[in-house]
Amino acid sequence: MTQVLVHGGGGFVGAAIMRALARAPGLTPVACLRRPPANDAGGNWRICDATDPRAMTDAARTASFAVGAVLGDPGTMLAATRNLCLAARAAGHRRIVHISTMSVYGAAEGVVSEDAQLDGAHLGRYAAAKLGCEAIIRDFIAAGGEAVILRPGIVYGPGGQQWIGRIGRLLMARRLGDLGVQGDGFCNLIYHDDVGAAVVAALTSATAPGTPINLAAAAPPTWNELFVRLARAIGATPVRRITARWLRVEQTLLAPPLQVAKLLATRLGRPPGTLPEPMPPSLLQLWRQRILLDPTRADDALAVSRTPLETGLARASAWFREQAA
Amino acid sequence: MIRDADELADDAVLRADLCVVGAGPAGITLALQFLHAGRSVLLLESGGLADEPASQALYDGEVVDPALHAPPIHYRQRRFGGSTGIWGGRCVPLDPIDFERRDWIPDSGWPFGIETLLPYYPRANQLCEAGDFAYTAGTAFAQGMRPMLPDFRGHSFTDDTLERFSCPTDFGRRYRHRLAASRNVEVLLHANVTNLACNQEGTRITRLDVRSLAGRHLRVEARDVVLATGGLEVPRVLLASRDRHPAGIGNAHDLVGRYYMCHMAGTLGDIRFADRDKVWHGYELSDEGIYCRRRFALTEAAQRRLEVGNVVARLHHPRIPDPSHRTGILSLLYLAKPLIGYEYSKRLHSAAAPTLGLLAAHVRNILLDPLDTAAFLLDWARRRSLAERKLPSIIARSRAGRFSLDVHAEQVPNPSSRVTLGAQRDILGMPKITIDWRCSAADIVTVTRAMRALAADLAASGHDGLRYDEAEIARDILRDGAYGGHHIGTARMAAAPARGVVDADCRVHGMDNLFIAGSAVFPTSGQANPTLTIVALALRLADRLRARVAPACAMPLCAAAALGGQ
Repeated sequence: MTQVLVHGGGGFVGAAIMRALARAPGLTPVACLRRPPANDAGGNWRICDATDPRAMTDAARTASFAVGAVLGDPGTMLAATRNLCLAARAAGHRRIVHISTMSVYGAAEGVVSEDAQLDGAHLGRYAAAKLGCEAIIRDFIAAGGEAVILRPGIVYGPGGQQWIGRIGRLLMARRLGDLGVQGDGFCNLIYHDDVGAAVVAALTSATAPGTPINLAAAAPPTWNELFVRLARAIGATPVRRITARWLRVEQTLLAPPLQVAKLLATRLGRPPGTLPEPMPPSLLQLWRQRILLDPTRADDALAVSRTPLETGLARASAWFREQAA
Repeated sequence: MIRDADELADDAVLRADLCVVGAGPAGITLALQFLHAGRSVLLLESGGLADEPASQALYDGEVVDPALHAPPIHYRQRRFGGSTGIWGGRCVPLDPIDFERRDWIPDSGWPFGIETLLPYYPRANQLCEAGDFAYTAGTAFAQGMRPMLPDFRGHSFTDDTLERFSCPTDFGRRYRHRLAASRNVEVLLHANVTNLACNQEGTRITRLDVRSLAGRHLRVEARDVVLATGGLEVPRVLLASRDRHPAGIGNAHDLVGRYYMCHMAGTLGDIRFADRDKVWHGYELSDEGIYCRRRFALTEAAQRRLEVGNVVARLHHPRIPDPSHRTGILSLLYLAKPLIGYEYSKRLHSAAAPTLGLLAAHVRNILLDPLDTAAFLLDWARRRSLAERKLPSIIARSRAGRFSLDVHAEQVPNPSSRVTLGAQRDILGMPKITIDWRCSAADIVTVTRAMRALAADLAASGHDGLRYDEAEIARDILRDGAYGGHHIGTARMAAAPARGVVDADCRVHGMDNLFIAGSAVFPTSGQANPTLTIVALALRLADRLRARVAPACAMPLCAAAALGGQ
């Protein structure tokens, strides 16, 4: 069996990648985690601090492939990617897959393919760090390594706190609903298991595409449509029409203290949803953004089928209802 | 991209694959279907982004009988977004019978049935922000919907059908950002089409002459042209374009401007219910947050049996000018009518000038009903003034326990009811229109028989409190004249050129590349407010236009089609 290290394998996306790899014939995934999982159900994992080059190199010795899906502050993500490449080179990995993000496109609008010009100067800290990570991967490729950069859109599914848990809670609190123009951006959804399947395809395809690959729905809904569908699925009805005026109150008056409180709650180990969710300007900007990820390259290079939105949302909303209960 | 005609050089020539004239709900819907697609689209709008009196004045014209029809500058908006800037938001699809040729209604029948429009109605609902395409209580409210009357058992009428309400969505404000961000769709403001020029044979539009009020002259050349200027301006532009067609484009059979229909609409009757607390004439919110409301609708079987047009009647508060309703908020509305726009204050006026006694009675109503009036005002501020999805209308319960019927009925197509060009011209040299709207005896028969049937249904259901004077129906239904804003039929659709201006694809008979979008093409009006069907027809027309030239999609999946104009 061929071992695949999944750095960040304990996260929402990382766990989906682990599941997909576990189903793939001939591959044995091992999650590389900073600390032991809260619920160790007997899966393959090992402790490995991605910011520690020696730990990464040690972990890489027995593996043939590696997947970089570490989330964290910019410094952590950059260090993890750098160490991933160093370890892969040292261990002679056949290929690595780096999970990037659509955030690298910044405020771009319209149909956006992977060849779009990226403007690093106007990116937020997270997106800029992710772009920096991509640069590290490109250097790795230029030096003779094989790597695939995946740029997923909005990764959702059961267990997804960011796009299902948080939005569900906002909908239940009637702070979110139909936003009109403010929610008219495209929600470039991709089901978490589809990301996992894309990673398997990226690792096992005969040749590694040398360019990044978008992962998103072919005809995504708008954020408004997502909000209304999710609200109906979880019983947050009747859906409210939220005024632009109220959203301004959210982002200017409520978001700053709520963000501080959320940070503190996270540090104290409180579970998500303990405090009201903040709606910072970056989130509201995303909901307005008319960006349409071109998924053509994923179709051509990875040939991964996508989970229909109806199916994905049904599963995700069932999870949310279960959590709420 | 959005530009202004006045930014361009004089005599500039603009070329596009498709030119859409008029950025109202039809024009904007059409343009949205070409976002992300490979075709260049030019959307010409006479006005600017907001109301401008000088642009609005270009609508000026004459009305043969001012008592029967509003001046043409009202109920229309000559600006980006068109009349959705002032509409009430009522969304109702046509009924299957509306498409049929009905022996008892001359010139009825569409060249296709409702099944042709059904694929487009759900997307039209979305664009109008009216939620699901579910227009019965059973389909829209899985948990059940409150009945309008206890134990209503209709023989001729049903209370199961609904009307849904848009925000009301101003298409200009709502979709402006989508068009502004587009690379292949360009909106040109302050661009007035003054002539459609044809080729030698008169079979193609080769050029559109465009002028701005600031004096710019532009020319537009487009492979396909769509007129989406509304039911009154479509005949105006067609009739005024006479380079190759002396009677106007599409007018070989003298049909352009004829068959002009609005709806018969008015407040009729007086109803008292024994147990008025069980009467519900308000709105309910569907799961997706849309205001919905029941109404009495004349069934198709009853229409056939009674040989009348389509009719609906809403349970309504009593006539506002009559203070005997004893309701503070209705009296407050009456007194506040100078502050309310023309389009929404028409029914607040009584035929006779208000007397001191009448005004005093209304003031008394307010003083005797202070709590209800204050509660209403607070609720109105919260759910109407400050809300983006607005409570569609005032729902007031009369303290005297009285209701009326707000009747909305189909007109029989009538070639004598027409829009023509007058002798006067506007500042751009375009002939002004003359509106000669006619109400026929058959229209009164429709309302009369429907009222009789509804009274019988109510009585059979144990509610025998409907009182009305049948002899006064014509007067009452015409009290406020033609229903404003519904300008229908002036470029009617028919398979044969001798019977209609456009064919089933909305293409002007005899013209290769000229299409019409909007209610001008409706051969009959049904009972439904036209906007939803205007949008559905525009979506269908977009499909037809896309099929004429296979687009070179920016995305191989042809996102424009897959996204449905998002």
